[in-house]
Amino acid sequence: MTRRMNHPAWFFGPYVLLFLTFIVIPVILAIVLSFTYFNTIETPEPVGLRNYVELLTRDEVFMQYVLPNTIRFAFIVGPVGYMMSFLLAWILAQVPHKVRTIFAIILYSPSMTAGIAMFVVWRVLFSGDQSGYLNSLLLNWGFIQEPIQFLTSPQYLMNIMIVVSLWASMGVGFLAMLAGILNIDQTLYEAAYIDGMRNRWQEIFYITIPSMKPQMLFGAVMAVVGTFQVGAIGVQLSGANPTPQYAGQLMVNHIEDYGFIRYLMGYASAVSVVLLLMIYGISKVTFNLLGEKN
Amino acid sequence: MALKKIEQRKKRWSFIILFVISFLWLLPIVWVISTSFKSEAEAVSGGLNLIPRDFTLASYRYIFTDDQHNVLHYVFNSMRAAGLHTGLYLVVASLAAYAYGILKFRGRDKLFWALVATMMIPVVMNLVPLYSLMITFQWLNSLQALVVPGLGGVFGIFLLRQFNLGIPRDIIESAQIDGANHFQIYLRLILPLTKPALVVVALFAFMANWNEYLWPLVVLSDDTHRTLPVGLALMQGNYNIYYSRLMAATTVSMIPVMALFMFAQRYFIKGITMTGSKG
Repeated sequence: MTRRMNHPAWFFGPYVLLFLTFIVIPVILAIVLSFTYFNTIETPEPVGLRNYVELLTRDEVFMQYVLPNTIRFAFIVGPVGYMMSFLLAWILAQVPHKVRTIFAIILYSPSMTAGIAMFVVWRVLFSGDQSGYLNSLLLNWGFIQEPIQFLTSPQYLMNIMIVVSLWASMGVGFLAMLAGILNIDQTLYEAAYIDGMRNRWQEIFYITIPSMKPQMLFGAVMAVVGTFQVGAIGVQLSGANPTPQYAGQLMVNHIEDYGFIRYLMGYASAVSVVLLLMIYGISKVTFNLLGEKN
Repeated sequence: MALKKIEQRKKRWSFIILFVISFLWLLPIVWVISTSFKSEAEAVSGGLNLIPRDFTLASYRYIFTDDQHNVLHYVFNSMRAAGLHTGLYLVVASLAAYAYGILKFRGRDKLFWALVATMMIPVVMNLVPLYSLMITFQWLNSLQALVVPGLGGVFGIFLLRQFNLGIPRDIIESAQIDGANHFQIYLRLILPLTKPALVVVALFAFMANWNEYLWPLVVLSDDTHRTLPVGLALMQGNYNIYYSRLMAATTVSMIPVMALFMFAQRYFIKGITMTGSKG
């Protein structure tokens, strides 16, 4: 009896079952569905590569707005958020323990409360009528004559999305990097200063970063995966999917639009396969940039 | 000497930067809370004042008694779903992490890294197939739909396994010599030892489930099990210009997660330190 209870399958069995059912099978299904026409009512009808061909050659919204938006958003929020996370974690490591905990919680708090809850603040702040706080301030101070439609005009929406996302970018990666920095053996720094290290930039590049490679990598992957998966923000801020003139439309919104508004599930699946490939590719590039083989 | 001077300068600048950034970071949250105590007239008139001129609980009274979208109903639903999810995930994940971190079997690490690789899969990719799966299981508009699919998540297993790897082997071996089987070791030794990591995993699982928006929106079509984020979004449509009510509902939605985090914070650095330290 005891021997049988020792079998590893007892331990990983329940999880692996859940993992297969809710992650592996859905991914395989998504890939299969991407080669079909499927409207959730009739059985999926195979159409070969049609969805992909359509996506890459005929879907003007995708090529003109969704793809450039996603790339622009991810390439700004990803690296900038990542660097901010590292720098703030490093700064946090310089202050005494008690204060550090308080500051860490404050910086992390947007990630905790993020989700839908906080969008209401930004909605009210940037609202396009006179009750929008930013508008009423600018009007009062005489900077503008007419309220600006921050959330419905294409030129502002994307930038507001980027700012709000950066505000909420101190997430798990940030916490892991903080833990990594705190774990570094302090005598390394002392030894380096004796050997002639002169300033804190050298300290960061020669001691800190090399000593916490696993956390740096973890943070980087989290940043890539996180930023490509962002979806709710543009729709929540502007209050519409599609966002006004597709200005804030990201891949995830495109998938929602086709999957759950038009019920073209096959097409939506094709878009999600493309998203997966993008994340995979960019993660690979990130790994190479950070100089890790696996 | 030079080192000491650099250290002091570093500390001073660190404090200045942290104060400025923390102020900016907290401002929106403090402002939400303060607006929730203002009267609607004051909230709409566009004051950025952080201290309400006439302090009132009217907005809270309204959202707690609203028949159409009662915030307490959503809080209860969210608590139930997130609580159940967290409890189940802790059991399943700690068992699996025991297998991947403590037990020894062929292909163990390959299997584990295959799991971790799936963290790259965007959640939205599974949305369509999972939705079809829910139809097959007849789980639409049910509590299971909110609780179960997330149990496949890898993040908690990753964190717990890394923590398990840091436990000295000889503790486990001496327990085995004393005749304990693996279930006993798991229950009496590993669970107490990994408490900080378990707390962190619990918190992340709870938070993820609590903040989830898209999935509940897709699988629930009526109010019975509807959770806070979706409820809040509906209220945003309904209250529209009732800023104070909106902010009151938002404040209520932030409290449970904030409270849990405060409670868990002393475990936090300890729990997450082990992440990625061994591989």
